[in-house]
Amino acid sequence: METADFQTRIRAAKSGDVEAFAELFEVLRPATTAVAYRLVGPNDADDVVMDTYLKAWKALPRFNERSSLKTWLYRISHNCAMDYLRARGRRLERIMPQDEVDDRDIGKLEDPKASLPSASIEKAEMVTAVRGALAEMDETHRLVLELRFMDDLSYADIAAAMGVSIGTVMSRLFNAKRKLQRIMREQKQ
Amino acid sequence: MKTMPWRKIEETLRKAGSDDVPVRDSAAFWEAFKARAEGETRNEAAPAPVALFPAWLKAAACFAVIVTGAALLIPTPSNNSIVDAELSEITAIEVAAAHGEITIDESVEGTIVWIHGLELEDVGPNQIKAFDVAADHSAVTIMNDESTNSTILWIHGMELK
Repeated sequence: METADFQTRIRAAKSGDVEAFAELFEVLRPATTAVAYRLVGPNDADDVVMDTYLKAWKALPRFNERSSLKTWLYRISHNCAMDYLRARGRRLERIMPQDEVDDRDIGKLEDPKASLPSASIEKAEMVTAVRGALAEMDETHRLVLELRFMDDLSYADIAAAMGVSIGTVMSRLFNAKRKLQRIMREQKQ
Repeated sequence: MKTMPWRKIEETLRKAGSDDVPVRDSAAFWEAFKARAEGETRNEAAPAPVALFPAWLKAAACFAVIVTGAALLIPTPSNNSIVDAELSEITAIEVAAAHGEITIDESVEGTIVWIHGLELEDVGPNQIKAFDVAADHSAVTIMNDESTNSTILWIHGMELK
């Protein structure tokens, strides 16, 4: 249920009030950044978010409120990300190929187990194991897991962000969960 | 080797996700945005909405719901597989047409039942003869999943115990 305050802001933003637009959309920026980050990778995410917001600003007067503002924004984000990948001749496959990882950055990463009590070490090991298993998954299944559980998106929002139907999201999520469990089981063996 | 419980993996994913995406500073972002938005022509057409449910799928789902409802009212002798879910909330699923495995997945948005290898529009209207859920739920959506050639029953508002 949208509040009266939301309606006032959206009317103002539609009629050209950029401050009202900023107030409305700032709250969605972390989630939009996460979607862009998952779709195009860390280096281009900021550019995709900026393009998304500029397109949203231009298209807002035509926003008909049939979907939530968030879902609408994720659809734009998906389109911008796909344009971005197309323009660079990339596909949605790997956001960070191994050969693009700068070895100098590895030294900057903290050891997740450093100065932690044993319960925390176990948790840190679990995080490392899950991240390792995610890295082994194909892009489509990894992406749906990240959007669902790391970014807490609803099925409808994942469908908008990935440009697929809700049924496909459910199916991918189901298969991705099985796959992740299988990889983790194999890792333990 | 035992499979790790999904709950534990999910919990870890949620924790790992909370801080792994860096977000640009708010003031810097909006300053750059305003500079670029200034002078932009507005009122462009919004992007075409993604069809979450194609028309044929809606029609097939509506048809399936009506037929399933009718099948529940008119008792029909069973001549095919009856699969009782292990979990007591789903008391019976009776599928007339040939199908593969039936699997159940719990989600925070409800419970999802997959009937693998069953496409509603391909095998006629009477495939799902009975579907009964004992626990409280708000609605059941029936849809095809084109990517895995299966039928999905999405039970909204029901969390399996």
